[in-house]
Amino acid sequence: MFVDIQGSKLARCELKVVEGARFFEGLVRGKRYDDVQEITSRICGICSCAHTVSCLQALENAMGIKVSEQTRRLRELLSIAERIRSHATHLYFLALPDYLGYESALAMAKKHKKEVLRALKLMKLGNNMVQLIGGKEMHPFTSVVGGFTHVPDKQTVNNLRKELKKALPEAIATAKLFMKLKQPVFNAEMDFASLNPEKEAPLISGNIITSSGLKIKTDDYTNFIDEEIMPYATGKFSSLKGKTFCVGAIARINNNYKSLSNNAKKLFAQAKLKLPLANPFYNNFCQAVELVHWIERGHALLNYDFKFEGLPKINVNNIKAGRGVSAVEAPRGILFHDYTINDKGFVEKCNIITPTAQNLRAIEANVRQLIEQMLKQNANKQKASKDKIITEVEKLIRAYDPCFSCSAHFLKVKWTKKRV
Amino acid sequence: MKQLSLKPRVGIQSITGCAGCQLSIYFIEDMLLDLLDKIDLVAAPMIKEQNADEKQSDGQGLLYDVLFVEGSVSSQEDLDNLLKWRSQAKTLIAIGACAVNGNVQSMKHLMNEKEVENAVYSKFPSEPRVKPITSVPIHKHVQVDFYIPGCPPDKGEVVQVLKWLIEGRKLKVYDKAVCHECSLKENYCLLDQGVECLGPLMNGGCKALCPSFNHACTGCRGLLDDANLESGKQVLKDKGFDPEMIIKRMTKYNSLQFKEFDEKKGLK
Repeated sequence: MFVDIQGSKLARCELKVVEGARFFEGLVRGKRYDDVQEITSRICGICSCAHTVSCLQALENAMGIKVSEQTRRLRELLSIAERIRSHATHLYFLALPDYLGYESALAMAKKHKKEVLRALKLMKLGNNMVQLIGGKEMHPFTSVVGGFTHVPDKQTVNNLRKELKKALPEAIATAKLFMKLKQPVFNAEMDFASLNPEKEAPLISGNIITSSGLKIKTDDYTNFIDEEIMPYATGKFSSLKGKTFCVGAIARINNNYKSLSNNAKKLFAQAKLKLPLANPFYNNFCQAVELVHWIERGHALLNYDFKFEGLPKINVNNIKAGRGVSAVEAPRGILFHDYTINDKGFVEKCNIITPTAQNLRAIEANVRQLIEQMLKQNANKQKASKDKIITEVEKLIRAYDPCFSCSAHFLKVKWTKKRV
Repeated sequence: MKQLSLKPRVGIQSITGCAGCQLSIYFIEDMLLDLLDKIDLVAAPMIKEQNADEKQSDGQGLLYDVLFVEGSVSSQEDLDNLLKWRSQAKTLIAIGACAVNGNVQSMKHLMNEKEVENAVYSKFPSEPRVKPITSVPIHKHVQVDFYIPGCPPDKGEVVQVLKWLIEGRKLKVYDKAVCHECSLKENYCLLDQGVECLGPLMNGGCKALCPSFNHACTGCRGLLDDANLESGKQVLKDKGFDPEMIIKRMTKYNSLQFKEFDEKKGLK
């Protein structure tokens, strides 16, 4: 993050997302349909399940393959499991230390052991669940084009249900903890985009809706989302019909509050916040509320008699060429995968838009707005507070939970303040 | 290996990759806090604000007794960092498929690089900042003391390596094919079921995880050091597969290694 403040004016504010580019969209060209998921999963360690599911669904759409209800259920469970560990990791390991004034969650362990242990418990639950369904904790491999190579047995499923039930109070405690954190007054000017949940699989299907009332068919996303490159970053910046927008937990709750579980709704009501939320600092709290919701949903989804359906059979000599798009709700927001396949089953074109890429522009705009707001307040008080601004900016960026392996590594605020 | 001081200074640093290896280390939930009692975690930029810097180095200019590096060298910045870390670390361990073998981003070694890059940034004017280094594993640039392969690596293995280091023991290398553990588990051979599996050529130590879940081994732990590509191909051919096709398809994690094996064969 590069910030240049001259006097009490913000001269420049640039989110310098620079990472060695890996060229995934180019790498999968010429790869056969059954190799693609393994490659694109590697885009991100913490949201590898979302990439897996989005990738497979897009390929299946392109090839005209329908999957069973069980397969969809298992894929949603995989996404839920990932969400639990991702939110827990972000909330406790990345966000909370900022608020409690520690350099890391590990440094918190002495005084706040209960919270750190709670975080580890939730992370473990999510990890176990991904592993038992997807084969391993990260980059799951059992889900393939057409179905699953393995399904968990009855005993495993029952144990998982018990674990989820046990974790519910921990999730509720998490929501209560984040409800208490004080957030600055800040109203961001932007739109909020999420998927419009379908009843049977809300995480992994649906079209796009926004708080301002836009309705977009998933297949048409390219007509609405523009990607561009800034001269100072390798990550791509997106806008929605030319407007700044954000995705993620806050957008999901803004747009889909009604579909939350009763416990999650109750917790949200206790915070006495007005919908739609315009303050991105509350994204943390929204994630905590989601933890409660998805643990309950996961518990319900596991109430099913899973049976191995055999290895999916795809006739390589009879593949339909075409294009397929899939949008899923990854922990950090909407994730698009889009493939064009030829009749031999090889990828000809690929486009992937990650949630963090969609949020980059919003993050940058919000940071600019926040600094200007703080400088104005400062000007009245005639007091420079570089440290305070840096802390708040970092909190704001972290609230977005940027998955920085999609786009960058970590953040340093560079400050060139010429005059005070 | 010399016994390390009572609380070894341990660090985790990353260059281009998915950050999953680093996460895997934090996911040792049950042991994490106990482990942190036994080591001094001096750098973990993903979850720590304060990380070791040059000023804290000891008399010999060292910051780390053990440094894990994840990711592959894919930019000049990666390379600069890696060289710096090497000079600061007593023991440097490559962790995960990116650091060990280059992983998927190194597939460019077997592809037309220009085409791959244009597919991503063609809409945009080419600028030097998006001009990367073709990804290579870290041993192409620095000396690596030990390798923990896998994508992601088995977290039990990470703990074990740390334990060995803390106790001053010799680090043991696992050097058997995936088939070894697979047959110990009495799995029904995927090749015999008509599934294209690379188990015979690939490094094990993963307890044959993927084949045990009916999924082919695609070699995330890399080729066996003494893999015999020619006879491997023959095995696949005998089972009725097209070996060239399979190998082309399945060199996701270790393209560079594969290329080198193939070239060596050419020299004979």
